[in-house]
Amino acid sequence: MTDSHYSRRLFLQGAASLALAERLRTIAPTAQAFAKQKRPMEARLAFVASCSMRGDKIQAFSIAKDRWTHVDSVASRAPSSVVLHPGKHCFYVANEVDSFRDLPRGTIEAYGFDPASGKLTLLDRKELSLSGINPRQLAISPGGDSLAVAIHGGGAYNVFPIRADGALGDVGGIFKEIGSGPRSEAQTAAHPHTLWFAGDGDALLASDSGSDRISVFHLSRAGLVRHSRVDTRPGLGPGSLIVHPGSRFVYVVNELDDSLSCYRFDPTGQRLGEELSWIRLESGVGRGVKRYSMTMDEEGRFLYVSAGDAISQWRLDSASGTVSILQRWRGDVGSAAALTMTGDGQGLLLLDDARDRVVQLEVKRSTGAIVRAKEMARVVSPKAVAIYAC
Amino acid sequence: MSITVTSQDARYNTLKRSRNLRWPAQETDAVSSIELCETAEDAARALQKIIDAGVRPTIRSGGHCYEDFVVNNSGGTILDLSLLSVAHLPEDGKRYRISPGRQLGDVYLDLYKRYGVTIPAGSCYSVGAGGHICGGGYGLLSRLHGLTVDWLSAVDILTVDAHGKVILRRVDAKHDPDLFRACRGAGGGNFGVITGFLFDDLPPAPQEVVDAGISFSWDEMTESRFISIVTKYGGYLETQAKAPDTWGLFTMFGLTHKSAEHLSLSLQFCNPDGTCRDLSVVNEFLEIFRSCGGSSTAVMAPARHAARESAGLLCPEMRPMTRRRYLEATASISGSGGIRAKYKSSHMKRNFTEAEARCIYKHLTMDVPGVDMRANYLAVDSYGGAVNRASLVEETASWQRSSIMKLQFESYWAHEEEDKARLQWVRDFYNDLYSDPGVSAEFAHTPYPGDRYEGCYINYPDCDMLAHSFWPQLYYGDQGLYPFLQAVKRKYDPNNIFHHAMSVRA
Ligand SMILES: Cc1cc2nc3c(=O)[nH]c(=O)nc-3n(C[C@H](O)[C@H](O)[C@H](O)COP(=O)(O)OP(=O)(O)OC[C@H]3O[C@@H](n4cnc5c(N)ncnc54)[C@H](O)[C@@H]3O)c2cc1C
Repeated sequence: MTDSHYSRRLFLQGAASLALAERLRTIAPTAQAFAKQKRPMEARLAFVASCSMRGDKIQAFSIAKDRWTHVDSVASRAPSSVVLHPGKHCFYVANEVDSFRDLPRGTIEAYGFDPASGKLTLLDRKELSLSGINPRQLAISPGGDSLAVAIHGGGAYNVFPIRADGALGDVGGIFKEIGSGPRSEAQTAAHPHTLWFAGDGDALLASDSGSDRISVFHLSRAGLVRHSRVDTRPGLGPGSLIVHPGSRFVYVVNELDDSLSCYRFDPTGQRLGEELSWIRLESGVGRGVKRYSMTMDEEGRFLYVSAGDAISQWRLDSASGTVSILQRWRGDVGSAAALTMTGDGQGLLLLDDARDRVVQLEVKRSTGAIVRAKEMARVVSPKAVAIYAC
Repeated sequence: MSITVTSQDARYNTLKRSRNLRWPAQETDAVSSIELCETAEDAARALQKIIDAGVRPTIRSGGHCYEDFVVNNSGGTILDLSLLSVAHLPEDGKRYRISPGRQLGDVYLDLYKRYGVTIPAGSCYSVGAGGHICGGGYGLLSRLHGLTVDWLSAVDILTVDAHGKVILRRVDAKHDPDLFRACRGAGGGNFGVITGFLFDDLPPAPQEVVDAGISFSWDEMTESRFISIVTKYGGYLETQAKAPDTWGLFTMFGLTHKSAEHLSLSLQFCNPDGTCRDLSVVNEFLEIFRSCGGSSTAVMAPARHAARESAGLLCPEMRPMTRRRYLEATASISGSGGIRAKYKSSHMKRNFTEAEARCIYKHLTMDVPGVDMRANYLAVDSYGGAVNRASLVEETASWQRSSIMKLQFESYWAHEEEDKARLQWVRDFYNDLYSDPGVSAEFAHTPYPGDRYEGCYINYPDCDMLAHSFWPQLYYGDQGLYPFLQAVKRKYDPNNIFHHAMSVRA
C-alpha cells in the first residue's frame, strides 16, 4: 500500500465520485447512507449476514414490494457487519472470529455481486492486524477507497485501502486502543464499537465502549492518527454512534448506562465538543437480550433506538441537536439484533434474531412514527444487512 | 532520550530486519520506526510515547528471535534495548545486574572479571540477555547449575496498566510474585519490557574446562551403526548422566546431514568443584563409543590443535581433549545471524527408540534435489542434572524438569528461493519423528508432554506448532502453567499490548 491511498486529496476525489454513488443507496446497521435523495427504486437487493449452528453465511435476497426472495448464499465465518461500496457492485463483511490461519486475528471479506441476479462472488479475504480479534463493525469512506474496521476483541482499529476492482489491499492503518473503565464485566480493556466517516470522509469518528472514549481519527501518511478524543463519564460504555447530516452533532448510545448522549462536533477542526444532552433510554424499554442498535432517517429528523423487543423514536432538533421522545413502540418482535433504515423512505428494517426473520417497520412519513411490522424474509439468526438499489 | 530511527534514516533498512533474514517476510510487515534505548528511563518514555500514539510496540534485545515476533509489526515500533547495557546500579546493593541489551558473551566476561561468577546460560556470544533469560536460558553449565532463571531473584519490568500508563516494577518473590514467576521462563514479548535481571547469588565460574569430541564419518555409516551410536548416546544420558558427579558434563551431538560428511559429538566438562582434575567422567562417556569407530577430536581447528599439542596443552588422556581456561572456552563461541534459518525443538525424557533413530537416519540421508543439505541437522544436547529439580516447576515458568535431552532441528540457507524446500525438509523430518506408533494420534506430529517427551522450548519458538490447538501445552505443559500465565497476562497487560504470534493469549 502506498501512502497516497490516504492523502486528503484522494479523499476529496473520492467525494467527487459520490455522483456515481447517488445511484446507490446503502444501508447497514450502524453504517451511514451515502445518498440523500429519495426516489423510487428499480432493482433492489439485500445482503444479510447470519450466524447459526446450521452454518454462517451471507444471503442475497431480491426485494419486491412485499417480500424478499432468496437468490444466493455463500458461506462466511461469523459475519457481524456488512457495508456496501458506494460506487461498485461489491460489499464488505467483518468476520467476528478470533483466529485465522492459526494466528489470533479476525478477517474481513470483499464480495462482488451481479446487480441483475444477485449472485455473489468472494473477491478477497484479508486478515486483520495481529491480535485484532472479533471485529464487529465496518465503515466505508464516502469516496469508497478505504474500509475501516472496529475490532472489538483486539482493541484496535484497522483501515484497508480498497482497490479499483473492489478487492482489498493489505492493512494500511492500525491504531491500538488502550484503556478500561469501571464496569469490570465489560470494561477490563478497550472495545472499539462503532466507526463513522464524517463529512467528506477525512474524519473518522470512533466510539469505544471498553475505555469510555470517543475519538476522531484521520488518515495520514503516517497511517491512522488520533486527532482528538473525548473521555466520557466513566462507565457509560459509548457504543452505537451516528453523525447528524451537516456533521454538527454526534449521537451516541451509552450501552452500559442505558442512555443517549448528543455531542457537538466541529468537522473543520475534527473535534468533538461538549456533551449537549444526556437522556436515559430507560432500561425497561425492551425485554430480551439488551443490545442497542441505532439508526437515523436520512434527513436527520428522527432517531430510532432498538433494545430487545422495543424501539424508541426520538425527535432531533436540527438547530440545537437536542433529542426528545416521540414514541416507544413494542410490536410483534422477538429481539432486535440490528435496526436500520430501508433507504426507500418506507421505514425501518429490524433483524429479529430471536424469531429468525427480517421485519420491515412501516413508518408514517410526516411523523416518523412506526405504524406496523411486516415479516419480509425468514433468516436464521440475522446479524447485519446492507441494501443495494439502483 | 531514546534514539528514533525512521524510514528516512540510513540505519532504518538494517535495523528493521531480524538477524534471521527471513523476517520481515515482506516489506508491508516492517515497522515504521525503531526506538533505541540506553536506559530504563529511555525505555519507559519511549514506550509511553508509542502507546499514546496507538502504535504496537515489539521488544528487541539481542535480535536473535527464531520467529518473526519482533520485526513483523506492520507500521509499529521496535523498542530496541540493545544499547541498554548498564552493569550495575547503586540501589542494587550487592546484587548482580544483567541488563537486557548485554550479549551473553559480554555477560560472561563481565561477571567473571568483576566477581568470578557466571550464569549457566546459552552458548552463543551474541544472544541477548533480554530475550534469552526470560525464556529459561540453558547452556553448557546447566546440568551443573540449572537454568539461568533458577538463579534469578528479581526483575525490573515496565508494564502498562489498564489505562495505558507505563509502570516500572521491581518484581520478586514478595512483590508481584505471579509476574516474577512468569518472567522466569515463559518467554519474551508477553507481559512487559524487562529492563534488568537481578541475582542475589550466582555460581562461581569454573576455573577450567575440557573440550573433547568424536567425529563419525558418514562414509562408513550404515543404518544399524547410526542407530547404535545414537542410542548409546541417549542411553548414557538416560542412565549414568543422572549421577551428580556427571553434571559438569555437557554434550552436544550434531547429527548432520550426510552431505556434511561427519557427525560430530562434542563435549565440555568440569568437575563440580570447577576443576578438571578428575576426568574419569569424560573418559567413561567417550569409552562408550569405542566400539562405534569414529575419530576422537579435541574440538578445534587442526592448526590450533597442533599449536596446543606442541604447547603441551592437550590432556594426556586416552582420547584427545583440550584443557582451556573457562573464560576463553565460553567467550569464543560466536553467534549465527545474517542468514535464513528454521528451527524446531523437543525435550526428550527417554533414550531414542530404535524406530526413532531409524527415522532420524532416514531424514539425514535423504537428498532434496537442488538443495545443499550440509547445513541441515539435528542437534541433540544433553539435559537434566541440576535442571531437573522438581521443586522448581512451581517456582519458575520453566516446567520441563524431567528431560535428559533437548533436540533442536536446524536448517540454514542463504537464498529466499530455497525457503520452500528447506522448510519442507525440517517439517517432514519433525512430523515423521513424532508419528511414531508411541505418539498418540491426538497429538501426532508433536512431542506432547507424556512418558517420552516434554514438549518444546519457548526460546526455540516454532510457529508451525500453532496449527495444533494444543500448542500452549507443548510450550507450557498441561499441568496448569498456561492458565496461570493467562491470569498474569490479564492482570499485568489487560490490553494485550505485548503480543506476537505465540504470546500468551488471555
Ligand atoms: C545462535 C543462537 C544460539 C542459541 N543458543 C541458545 C542456547 O545455548 N541456549 C538457549 O537457551 N537458547 C539459545 N538460543 C535461543 C535464544 O535463547 C533465543 O533466541 C532468545 O530469545 C534470543 O534472545 P535475544 O534477546 O537475542 O532475541 P530478541 O529477538 O531480541 O528477543 C527474543 C524474544 O524475546 C523478547 N524480548 C527481547 N528482549 C526483551 C525484554 N527486554 N523484555 C521482554 N521481552 C523481550 C522479544 O520480543 C522476542 O519475543 C540461541 C539462539 C541463537 C540464534
